[in-house]
Amino acid sequence: MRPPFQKYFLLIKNHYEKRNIRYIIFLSFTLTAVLAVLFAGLTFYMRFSSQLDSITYSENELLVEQVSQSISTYLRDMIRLSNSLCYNVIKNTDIERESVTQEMHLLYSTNQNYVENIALFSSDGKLLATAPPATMKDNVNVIYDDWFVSALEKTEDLHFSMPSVQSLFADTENQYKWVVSLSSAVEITRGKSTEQGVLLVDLKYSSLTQEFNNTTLAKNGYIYLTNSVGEIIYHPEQQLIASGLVTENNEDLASYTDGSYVITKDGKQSTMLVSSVGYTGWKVIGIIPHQGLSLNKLQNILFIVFILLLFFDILIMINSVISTRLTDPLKKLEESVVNIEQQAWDSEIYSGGSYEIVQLSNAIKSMMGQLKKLSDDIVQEHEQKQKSELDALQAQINPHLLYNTLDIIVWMVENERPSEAVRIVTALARLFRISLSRGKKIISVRDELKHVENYLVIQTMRYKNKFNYSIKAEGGVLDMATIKLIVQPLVENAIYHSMEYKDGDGMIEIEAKVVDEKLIISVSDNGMGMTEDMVSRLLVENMPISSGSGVGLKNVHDRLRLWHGEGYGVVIESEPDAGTKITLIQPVRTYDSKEAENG
Amino acid sequence: MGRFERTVFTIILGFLVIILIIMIVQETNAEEENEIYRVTVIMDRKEDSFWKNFRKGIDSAAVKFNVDVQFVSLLDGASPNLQAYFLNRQIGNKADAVIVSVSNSDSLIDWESEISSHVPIITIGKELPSKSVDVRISGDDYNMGKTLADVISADGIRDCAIYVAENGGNSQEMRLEGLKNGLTENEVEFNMEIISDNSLSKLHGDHVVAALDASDMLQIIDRADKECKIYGIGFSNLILSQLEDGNVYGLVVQSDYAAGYLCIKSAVNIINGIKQADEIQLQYYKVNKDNMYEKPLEQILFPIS
Repeated sequence: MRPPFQKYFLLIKNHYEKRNIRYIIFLSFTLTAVLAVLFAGLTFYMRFSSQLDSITYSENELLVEQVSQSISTYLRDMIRLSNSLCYNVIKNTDIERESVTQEMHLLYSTNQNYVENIALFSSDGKLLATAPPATMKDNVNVIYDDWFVSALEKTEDLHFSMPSVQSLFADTENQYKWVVSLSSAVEITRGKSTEQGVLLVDLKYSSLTQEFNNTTLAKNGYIYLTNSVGEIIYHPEQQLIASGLVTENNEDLASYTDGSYVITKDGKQSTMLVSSVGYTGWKVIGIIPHQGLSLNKLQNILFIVFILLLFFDILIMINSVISTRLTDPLKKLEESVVNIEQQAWDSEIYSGGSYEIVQLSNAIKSMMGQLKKLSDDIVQEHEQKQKSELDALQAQINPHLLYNTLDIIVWMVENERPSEAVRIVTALARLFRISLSRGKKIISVRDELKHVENYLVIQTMRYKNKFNYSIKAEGGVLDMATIKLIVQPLVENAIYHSMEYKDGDGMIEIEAKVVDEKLIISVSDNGMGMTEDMVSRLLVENMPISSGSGVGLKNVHDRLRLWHGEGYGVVIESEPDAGTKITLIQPVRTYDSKEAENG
Repeated sequence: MGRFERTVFTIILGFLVIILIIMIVQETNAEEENEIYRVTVIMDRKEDSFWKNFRKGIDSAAVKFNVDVQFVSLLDGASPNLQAYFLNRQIGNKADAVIVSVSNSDSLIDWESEISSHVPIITIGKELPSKSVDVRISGDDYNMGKTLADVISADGIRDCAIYVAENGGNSQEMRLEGLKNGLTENEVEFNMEIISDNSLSKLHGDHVVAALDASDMLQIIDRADKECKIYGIGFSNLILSQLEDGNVYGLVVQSDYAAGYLCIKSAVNIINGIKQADEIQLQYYKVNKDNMYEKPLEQILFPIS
């Protein structure tokens, strides 16, 4: 079963295969760069966002911790004040003999920025001393107040109340002040006896909350203070909470210990930081909404997307330039090749661009040079071949030979020598039959030798008693293949250039044999022979020895080379006044009539 | 650049332009979000306590909503037309919104007929039959009156005098109607006394007196003997002190702090095109000597600044 993605892979592959190199380079570069940038961008974004969040939370945690520390310090100072009043002022004073008011006032004056008033009550709720001086309201009885009850219930502890309006003392200006009451049981000395009383230090609510007013958390974050069970002591919107215009999730705060928590308020997630205040169990709570924090803001995301898109656009331009620079030389090179393909051989091949393309251009140039040379060679060879074949064709029907032979036949008929006439006519007929050979270019050695023999029969009739001839062939040679009509021109040369001057002692020997896996056919005569200079000029183009001489030999040589290649052809051995031997060298091939017809 | 490259380039360029536009719009909106709103509050109330708590609410909301508040106080006895003058002046000064405590609805009706303004106007207290007013913030006057009747009746009172200011306006009329209906339902007999400027005579003996707002109540406290049992709507520190001392027996109050906060919040919402209810009614509470320090009354009566 094919994997599901294979289909898409094939689609992409097909898509790519049909596109040009410029498109592929551009798309590949761009996609790779885009993917790399996206991956890197996403990684960095997540990393930085996470780090920024972490830093923001750490800073806010630090702020909350600092506020908690400040409140702890403030409360400790107030506890020290209370203890100082208890142990240094009240316990050491016999209130029957002297008043504590002066020393109490002294301490109040020192701490009046934080303390609203200080009061000492007896266990039955009677006011014994106060600083600053104040009178209790008529209808007030403190023994039922929480702070008073708590102080007498747990005499060893100090008790901080929830914030409340100070309602103990009469105020001529009808001012109502918010305080947090710090109460503790004290030992009051009356003469020789001691009794329990309650020391009340009313702390200014504003001094307690000052630290909160001066502290700002991350955007839209806020900080508030609760007691150990989650009742709000300070909240920036506590008035609105009291009026029911705002709500706060403070009911279950008792279960939270110090640390950070993710909470949901009004359907939005926030981080809640909790830090406990020493001694009281109060908790400083910091709320940091997640929305609008760090890089999560839409503005930041849009900015990042904008930068990425800008980068992509620049990348496209750069990739376009790169792909153009890379592919333009290729395109020009391709155009050059197309021009050549359209037979414009002389058009210039473009050479430019990168090193590899220049190299390729040079290689193509070189290849084209070779091709051109080869092509020229082929054309030349073709022309040569055609010429040779034409020459061979001309050799097949030599009009002079025919004319002379017919003259001889006429002469024989007139002189009533019919048997000789028959013989020569028969030889002529056979000569022409083999010459034509139904258009074959390859014939058997047997036919070739018969052809020469017929030719020699005719020529001996013509040059009566001037020369003799012999034809020898090894047994197996006769069935071998040879190019047609290559022996007759050599015999013709021997007759015309050597035998014509002989008086019956001329001899032409034709021999066919196999030597060293090569078919050797030689034509020897005992004629005039040639000098070395003459021999060397025989096979060279345009350098005939004399008019007509050597043309047939050169033609035979060229034909042999054309058909069989280098290493084959004509070898001339000659010595002046001794004779000439011309050897034809061909490869050994068994004659096949069908092959010969196709050839 | 080839055709394909041009197409991709143009598409990305298009996206770039779109994102740029969104960013510019966002930036503009962000600037608007950080905009400081200029809101004028024209006050006329006589009792300081109301304005003190109201102002605390205003200040709290001003910090939260980024509002620069300008307070214009009309002195006692100032011409009612002065309010219209100040309204015109603030609108002319291109205030983003005006919060006005309506002292004389007639003068403002005249004003409204003269001017057509797009500046949001929020009124406190008296109703102004005006299309120019965007939001009216008030107590539930009728039910406050009726609740006061319940408080009086619950104390076993069988007859009482209702003291009403001469030009109380619509708000006081509603409270009076509620009080009268409540007293009738509770079978408490009542008589009406009109308070003209400085015309209130001394109240001797153990009269039971009901006042419909804090300023009337303060006049009554000033003139009444200690035996006089005073009930009323609204509060001030003096009234609360008298409540604690036992001279005032019962109150029905609303959060002045909340009123101030809601005024600013409504003004900002209207400026930002957020639809607001035409009228916002404040919650009301029964207060007596025993519960005045309980939550949430303690914070409503003595707002923390």
